[in-house]
Amino acid sequence: MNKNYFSDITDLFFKVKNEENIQIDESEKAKIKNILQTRINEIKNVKEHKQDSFWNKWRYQLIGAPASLLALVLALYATTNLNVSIPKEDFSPTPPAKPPVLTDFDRPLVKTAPKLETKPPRTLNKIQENETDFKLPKTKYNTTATSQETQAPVEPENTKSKDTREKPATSQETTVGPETVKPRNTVSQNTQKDIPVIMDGTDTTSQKTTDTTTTNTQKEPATSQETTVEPEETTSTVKPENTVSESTSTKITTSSLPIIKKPTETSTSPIYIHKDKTIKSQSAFNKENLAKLTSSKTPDSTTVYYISDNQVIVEIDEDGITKWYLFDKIKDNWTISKYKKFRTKTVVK
Amino acid sequence: MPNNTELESERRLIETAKVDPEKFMDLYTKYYDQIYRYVYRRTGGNKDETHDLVSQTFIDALSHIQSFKWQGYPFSSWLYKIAHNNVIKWYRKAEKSNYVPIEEAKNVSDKNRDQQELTDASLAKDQINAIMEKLEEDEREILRLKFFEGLSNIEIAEIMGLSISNIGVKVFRTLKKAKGFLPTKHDLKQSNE
Repeated sequence: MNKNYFSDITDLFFKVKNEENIQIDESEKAKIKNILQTRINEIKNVKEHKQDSFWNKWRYQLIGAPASLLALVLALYATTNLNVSIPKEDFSPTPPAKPPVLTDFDRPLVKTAPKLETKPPRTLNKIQENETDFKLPKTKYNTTATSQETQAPVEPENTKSKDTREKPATSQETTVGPETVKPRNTVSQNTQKDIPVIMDGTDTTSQKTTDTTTTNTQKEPATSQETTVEPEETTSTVKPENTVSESTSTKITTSSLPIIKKPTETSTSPIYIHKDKTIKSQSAFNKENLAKLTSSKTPDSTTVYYISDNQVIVEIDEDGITKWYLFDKIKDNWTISKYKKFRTKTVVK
Repeated sequence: MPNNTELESERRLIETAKVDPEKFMDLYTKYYDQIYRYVYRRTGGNKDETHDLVSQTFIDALSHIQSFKWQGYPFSSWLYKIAHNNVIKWYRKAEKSNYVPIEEAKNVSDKNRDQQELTDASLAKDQINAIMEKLEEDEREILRLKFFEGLSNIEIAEIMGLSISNIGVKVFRTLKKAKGFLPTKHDLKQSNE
């Protein structure tokens, strides 16, 4: 600090201080001294009282020691006799959701590949199935409720190779070649029920194949009770038109093969609910009921794909528009869970 | 600031007073005048208030001497701190009761003054009062402790609860600010005319 710079202000302060004449009143000083002395005496008395008091001397012997012993005994008792078990479930982290395990029953029906002249018919094994990409075929499937057609093989026209393969469980469009041909659709039908279960779609869109024979085999569980919805085991052979076997034999891949899901076995009679509509029938998946459920007026064709025990996809063609509905089985009741048109691919995954 | 020998003897006296409260009276005798003057200035010359505040300061010191920790500062710094807090409390009470001690102190000083006593010192006192009114409270307190009480920056820092470097900066800035409030020679000439 520059003393000269602040000398004017500091000189003022010192001048005022020197001129100050604050008189110290000794009487006041003595009064405060007496006050302090009184206070000191009080402090002394309190100290002496604390030191001489019976409580101060014997408080530990009277309370402290027994309390310590009691605490020790309690601690020993707690460690030896008390078994506090904490359930592991309370603290274990929640296990991650396991992916659904597919059993053989749940797997789609194996369909043999169409036989070719030059090559033996291909059959998908499990590994191939797992690796199969669930791509939707472009072919639209029309279901018909004629059991005769499904069981009776269709004679191929100008067939040079026989192609047997799997059908997709939920296929929308199958593209094998540049040309898309609408195949014939077959629907498996119970003898007693009108449940369209099997969809038969063949990829006859391939290049220039005039005649290919597709053998579709689908196993369905046997009927257990009266109320059980059971699609029958059907075998359908579809005869595509205007197909050339030579080209199809080279371009058909496992990924393009349609796969058909196995129908599930139900032990009790399902009840199909659509909003406030409840249909109590084991043939609820027939065309008529599905029309009610999905509010379709005149469905051209309906096809049911069994995804699992608790899920079914229904394909409805109406006025040239294909709609897909997912049915969830909740407490033995089939309920439409989604009304929107959706892609099968997302559902299957 | 006392030297090391004085500080050491003071430390021993404090340690003794902690054990024997009677020894506190030695500390009281030693620092009464300093604390009295400080409080007297702060109260604007109000003797009754000064008496109460000084007694309260020493009673507080006696009651809490067990908590006093020696840090190398004089015991007076601790007493100043207690007195400073008591004065602040008193000011707060005075503000609530619309009691303005500064103005009263001015009047008292003016009453006791004759025309002949209006010397340079009295003019200086008026100037200081005018400057102090324009400063903030913490700035006024720093200047009081620095120039009226003659305390070092270390002691002021202990009393104000600030760091030593911060006190140094504050002293410099406050002096610079106070210097700006000083009337210039031109102002003095105009006032004389």
